[in-house]
Amino acid sequence: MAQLRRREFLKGAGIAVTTAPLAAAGGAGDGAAGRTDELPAGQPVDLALSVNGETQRVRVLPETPLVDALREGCARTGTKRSCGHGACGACTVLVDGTPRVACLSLAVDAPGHAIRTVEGLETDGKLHPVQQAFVDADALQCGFCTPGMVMSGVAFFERYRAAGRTDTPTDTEVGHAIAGNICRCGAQPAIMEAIRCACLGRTAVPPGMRDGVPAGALRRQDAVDKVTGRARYTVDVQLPGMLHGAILRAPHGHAVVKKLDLGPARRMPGVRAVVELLPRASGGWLTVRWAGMEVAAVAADTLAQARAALAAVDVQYDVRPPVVDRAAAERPDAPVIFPRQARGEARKAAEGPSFPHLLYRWDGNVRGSMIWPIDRDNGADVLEQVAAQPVRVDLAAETAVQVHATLEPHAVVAHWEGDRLTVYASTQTTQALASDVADAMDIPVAQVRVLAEHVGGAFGAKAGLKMEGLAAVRLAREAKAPVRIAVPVGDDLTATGNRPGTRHRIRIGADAGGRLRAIHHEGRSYCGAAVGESSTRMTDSLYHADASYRWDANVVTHSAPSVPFRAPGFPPNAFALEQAVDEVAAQLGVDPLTLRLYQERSPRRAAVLRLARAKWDGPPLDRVAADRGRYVRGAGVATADWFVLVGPQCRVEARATRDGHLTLSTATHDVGQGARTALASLGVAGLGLPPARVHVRIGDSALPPAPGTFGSISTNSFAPAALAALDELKDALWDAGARRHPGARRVERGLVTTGGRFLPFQELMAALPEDPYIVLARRPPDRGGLKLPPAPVDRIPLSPIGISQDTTNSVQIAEVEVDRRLGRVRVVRVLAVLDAGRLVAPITSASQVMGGIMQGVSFALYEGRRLDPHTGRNLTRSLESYALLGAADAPQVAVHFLDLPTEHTPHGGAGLGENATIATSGAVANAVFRAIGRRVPRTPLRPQDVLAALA
Amino acid sequence: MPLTILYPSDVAHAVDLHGGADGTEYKAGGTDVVDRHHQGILAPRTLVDLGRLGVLRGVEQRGDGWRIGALTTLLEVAGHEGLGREHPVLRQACDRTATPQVRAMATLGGSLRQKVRCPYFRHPDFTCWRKGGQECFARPGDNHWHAIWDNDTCAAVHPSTPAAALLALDAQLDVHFPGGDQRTVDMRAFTTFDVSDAMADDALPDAALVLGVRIPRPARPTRQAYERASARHLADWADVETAVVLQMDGDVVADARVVLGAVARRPRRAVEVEQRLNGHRLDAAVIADASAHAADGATPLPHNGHKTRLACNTVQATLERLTS
Ligand SMILES: Cc1cc2nc3c(=O)[nH]c(=O)nc-3n(C[C@H](O)[C@H](O)[C@H](O)COP(=O)(O)OP(=O)(O)OC[C@H]3O[C@@H](n4cnc5c(N)ncnc54)[C@H](O)[C@@H]3O)c2cc1C
Ligand code: FES
Ligand code: FES
Repeated sequence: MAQLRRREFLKGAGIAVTTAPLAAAGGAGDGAAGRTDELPAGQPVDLALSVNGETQRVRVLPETPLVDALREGCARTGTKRSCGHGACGACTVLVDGTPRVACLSLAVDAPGHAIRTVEGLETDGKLHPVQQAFVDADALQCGFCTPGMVMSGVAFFERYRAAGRTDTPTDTEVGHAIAGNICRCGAQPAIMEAIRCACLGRTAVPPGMRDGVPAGALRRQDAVDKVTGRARYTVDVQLPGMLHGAILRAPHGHAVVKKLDLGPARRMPGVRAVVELLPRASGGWLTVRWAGMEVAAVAADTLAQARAALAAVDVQYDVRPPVVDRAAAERPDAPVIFPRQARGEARKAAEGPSFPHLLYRWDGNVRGSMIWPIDRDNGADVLEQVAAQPVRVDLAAETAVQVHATLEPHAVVAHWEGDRLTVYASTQTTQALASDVADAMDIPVAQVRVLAEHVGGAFGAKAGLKMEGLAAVRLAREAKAPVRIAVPVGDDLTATGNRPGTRHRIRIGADAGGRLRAIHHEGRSYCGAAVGESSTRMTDSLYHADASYRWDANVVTHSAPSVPFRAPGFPPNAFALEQAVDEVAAQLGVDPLTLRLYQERSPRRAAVLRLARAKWDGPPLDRVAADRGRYVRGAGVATADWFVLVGPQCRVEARATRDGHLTLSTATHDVGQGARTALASLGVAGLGLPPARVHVRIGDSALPPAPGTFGSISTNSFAPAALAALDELKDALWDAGARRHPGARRVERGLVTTGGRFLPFQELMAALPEDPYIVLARRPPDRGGLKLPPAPVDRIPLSPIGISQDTTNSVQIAEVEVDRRLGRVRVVRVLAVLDAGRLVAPITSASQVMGGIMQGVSFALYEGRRLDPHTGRNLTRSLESYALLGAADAPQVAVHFLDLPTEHTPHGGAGLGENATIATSGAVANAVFRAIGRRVPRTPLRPQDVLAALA
Repeated sequence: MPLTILYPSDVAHAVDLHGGADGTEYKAGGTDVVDRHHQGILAPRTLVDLGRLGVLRGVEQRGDGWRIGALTTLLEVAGHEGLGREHPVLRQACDRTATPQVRAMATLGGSLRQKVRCPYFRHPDFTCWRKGGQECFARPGDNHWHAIWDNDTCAAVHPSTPAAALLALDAQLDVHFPGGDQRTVDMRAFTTFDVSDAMADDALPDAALVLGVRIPRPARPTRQAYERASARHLADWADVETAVVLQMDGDVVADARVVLGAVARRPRRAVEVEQRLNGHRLDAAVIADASAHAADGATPLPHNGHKTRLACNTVQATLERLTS
């Protein structure tokens, strides 16, 4: 009725359906009376946009967001799209000088306004001061948030300059300026420092590096590409004729599919291929065990068509009640999610080898510890020993499910050319993915090439072949055209991985001298529809109590399967364990660093603890604050260790050319941790070449083998191989030089002729017998062999993984301020001391540690997935409801390394990406205890929990 | 989903074009309507774009107070010097709303009439009351974010931070009604409606167009503050928020407005607190006594009991800022 009235009215008013005039009018002034401009649904509009001072013509639909017009329409992919919701700021552009989110702006509103994007900031090939400061402060890792961050920074910089200011911008105002930009990698302190320094016209320095930047340390190699928007991520790949794919997901936590008919979807407009993703099982399909499980996928000419086609798939569910709640899953009468014959359908929650299900004791939905040697008698003997000690602690703790929330969503572009397949993927395992794809499609692995030039964050969620990869590859084959799938953020936060929630009970008995004598640790990991997590392992490796018992259960529920997440199992383990140990220290009234020194047998770990003591200049560590004002502060300590994983078969190719250039290649990845920088640093240091002459090729499965980038394994694997390749190359250069200059003497970086002239390697390269001269070297073995020999990890046959005899150690000390009225916890600063052996690339290493700290703070205070208890659907499917640390809440950081070569790895280094994040949440929790005198051992620690504890 | 955009020539034309039709909404800053269109959540099929109606934009000081055009962005409201000096509660509220990029787009009118942020409503797979369903999923589900008052039908809280400040300021809205009437509606009337209607968020019909907001000059000097409880300092939605405007007779509170946000289907005046402040000097004892009543009469759901304490503490923290 109302609809009709309006149409009549419009008719009466004589609508002019205008396209070009509208675009030119550009929203200026009041419309001319009596005339209705209309943009009718479905009708393309031609626009002339002013982008970075140039006129850009683009055809859009009325609903096209500006971000898509820029990225797809104008092929300017510097501006990123992540949440699509206004919450992350990745799409920030300046509109007439003011930052706006391009995902919520309509392209049709843009004409008549000056749009500036990250691509337009350079002048005469020179970076904008804010861009330069980002490079100098190393204010980025994966770089996916960077274009948006830079734009917010530029807007602040311009306001600051326009006001004629010369004072130092405060943390508060810079924090405000970038409050709408999320960085998942945790570069916030460096970003704030970069913006401050750009305003002041000062050269920025990475803020975590309190001991200064070592001379000659290389800056991040891809920083310039990332601050200018030139770095190409998978979501930026556009191929001619490329189709858009979308995935249909089950909306039920528990259901049996009765009917699945793709026919209606096939007949929808623009649809070019449809595939089933839900695996077939006897007589039907696999049981749906989480809301978000993949059912089918469609490829169409446009994304809108693909989405519309998903809605046409005829799927009928027999919906069953899901077991969502943690407690409900453990009730004796709970429905069994994986009956014995279906245990194989449980996904794998952790990296590393998986053992047959029959080695574990299953009790309904609880998979206990391995039957042997751990699950003996519930550790009653250990409990007796705890009870016999004068100091006893009994602590219960729990952590929420954390999701990876990488800023670049999971994304794949699959492109078949005949029987050869190229897969562009946001992945941390190019080679494993290539072999997985080859298996899945039944083709030789040599026909598959996986490319991952830049990866916008991974953190464990992007290892191996995922459903979106399988879908893209199959759709592309069926459609005979390239297909891109980028998982929308709602699905990404729901179904592509998470860190299990955990519950712990830890009982410790200590003697009067503070030695931990007996530890009994029961841990439960809530892995969704997966098993394989361990959240108690560090309890034994960190403390060598005389008696120890660990029960390490996995509880399955009807929710999305967990996957590895940065240091799987360890952050929750440390959160619980380090609070229990802190409790021992508090009871004894000793400084928690000292208490840990009492336990130490490892001189390296003791050195780390002592260095932390020497570097800490915050509040005393042995006190519980007596202050009862509104804002109270406290400092807390936590420690961690992590394996030194190695890929013994990693190979690096060194290619030298007579014109004096060196290229190092291997199939590793840069997910933001700085692999390019590490390899370049080795090349520069090894041959004494200027950085501009050293090139790195990675992120391509066709390159020499390297393991996936997880578990802090990458540098441990490629660095020794690179060093070996460089050694071989040096021999060749010395030999080649000596042929030309008989009698010349070998020195560190070249030759010295009999006449006393120094010939650097760069010059000797001209004498190489071949051009290019190529050597391929394999990673040499560890001194004294490995602790655990290489084991082929499931689905990653190319890269067996070994465990070195070395370990890495860390201490973190956090200072917090608690608002006793509003319950908010603010982490003021964090000191991190790490033993990661010798550093290959100090700047990016410090950034990794800073990022680990930020993620740890985020885990401690904000992150927690929430599911509807009745359907299992994810209620935190946006970055508004799933909160991540923001810049305004980011602590100051100080990072120190125990710069001492390891004993066993060939390069003397040990990796640090995981260990950087393990201790943080425990340190924060202990600091809160020291501030308010109450323990609230749960993540996320929300204001209401603090207030409840204080009440 | 395809979208039609209509560009009205003036205010009356805009209201006529809207016509109260299903699937038709205004577009001001677009931060809510564009988002819902893209996400398919109560997705509008037709938008009546207000962007070209320049008369709706701007902040103006008049003899009897301030007038703010409905299309004025939250960034402009927060950044207006004179307005901010006189009414810090509005500046602080707008400044804590959303993110800089969103504030640069979001308008004052849109902020008052944006749709709720309940995660069930915003989830594509729940068909709740507001999407034509027959139930609220939050009440028996995870109602951690939800209302502790007015939660019998829909339990979503009113989303607007600026609305809380405007209610505390006794502001009035200039509204163009369907049919052509232009009337002034005060915030109290705007926020008074039958909450058993699960679809309602305010007292205005859908097609009513808010032209602007008037803030009357207070009869006495005021003290004002906005505060929120949230896990993150910025860019977070409030767990509970408070806007306070106290008209003062010297040191004594003459007329208090204490408004709670994120606790009910509408911004809610904490009358029990106001009564305990009126006629009293603002000292620690009075504040403690009064704020303890902030959640009187609340009927929390199983998972949001924490909001009662947050309400009391947020009121207390806000009042404490106003003691000197
Ligand atoms: C990350 C994030 C965080 C946020 N945090 C907060 C927060 O803390 N507090 C808060 O209050 N909000 C918050 N918001 C929401 C934001 O404030 C609103 O989206 C915004 O205010 C809506 O204004 P708009 O002009 O963009 O409205 P639009 O999206 O254009 O319109 C919204 C609705 O209002 C109606 N409407 C618009 N203008 C008028 C008018 N003049 N008269 C009548 N009806 C009108 C439209 O019909 C539509 O139904 C947040 C948003 C994001 C993305
Ligand atoms: S993509 Fe626009 S804000 Fe996240
Ligand atoms: S660098 Fe900020 S998200 Fe990765």
